[in-house]
Amino acid sequence: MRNSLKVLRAQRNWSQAELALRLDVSRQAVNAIETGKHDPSLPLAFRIARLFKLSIEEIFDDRPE
Amino acid sequence: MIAQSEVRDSDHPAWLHSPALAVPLGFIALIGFMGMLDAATKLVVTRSSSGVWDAEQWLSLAAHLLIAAAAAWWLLGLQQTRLKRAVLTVLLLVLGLQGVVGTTALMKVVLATHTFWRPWGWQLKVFLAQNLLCFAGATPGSLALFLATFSKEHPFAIFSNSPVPLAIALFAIASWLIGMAINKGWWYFSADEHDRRADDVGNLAGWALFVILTPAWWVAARAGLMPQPDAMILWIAAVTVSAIGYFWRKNR
Repeated sequence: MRNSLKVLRAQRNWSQAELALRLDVSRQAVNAIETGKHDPSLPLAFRIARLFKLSIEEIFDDRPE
Repeated sequence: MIAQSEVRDSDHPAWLHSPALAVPLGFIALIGFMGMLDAATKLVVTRSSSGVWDAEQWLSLAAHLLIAAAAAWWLLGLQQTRLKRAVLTVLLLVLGLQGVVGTTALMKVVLATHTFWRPWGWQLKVFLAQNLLCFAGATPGSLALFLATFSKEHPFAIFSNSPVPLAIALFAIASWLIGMAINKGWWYFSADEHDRRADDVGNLAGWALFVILTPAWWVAARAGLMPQPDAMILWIAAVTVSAIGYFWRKNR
């Protein structure tokens, strides 16, 4: 699943570790989500959306490229 | 023909074979290893590598060193029986003391965890869980060295079927079962969803290998194509495949 997590993180000058701390997950988890290798669960997707004050659809895109 | 118990008992003090002694020792050793966890936790919580360790942590560290030294000694084949018994006695005494001290240390870990949970969040939870897993492996690992040294076949016969003293076996079994049951659960519910999914993949791979391979080996043995299935070989294969699956899913 494509997502704009990396862009959103870069806009805030957060490292993957900082974002991981804010989301209460591991740095590897953030990396896996950013690279599309791990689709977050619905609760985690909501946490991400709330952190960036966006809707889930604005961050994640499940449509094929 | 010599009875197995005669072979097993000939070189060890009789009191070592008491189940009543061995089971509490398993618990005591497990709690004792928590002492080391306490030391590491303190270092992390205070963010200081120069934190002063108090007596309980030094005692815990000393017990670990003693275990390693004793195991190495036996592995080196120094066979003075009186010295062997003396070291074993000291070792068990230290482990007993460790049990008392470790209980205190465990309480401190709980308090530290509650106090520092919020700022440290996920890192502290996983740090604790990962260290507990390491200790769960270290306890039976150390005991495996003991078992190897008590082997009548050869020094590194950890996975052989040679007889081992009952007390040592119960000690190892108690440490392994209790340690792994507690730590696996703690780790699973402390890990984040990415880590947990990797664990699921690893477990599935290991389970599949065991379920598929075992009957095939069994039938092959009945047909005379292979020796009888060996539980420890199957266990090692399943654990190895589980680990490969876990690390592949986590780091791909």
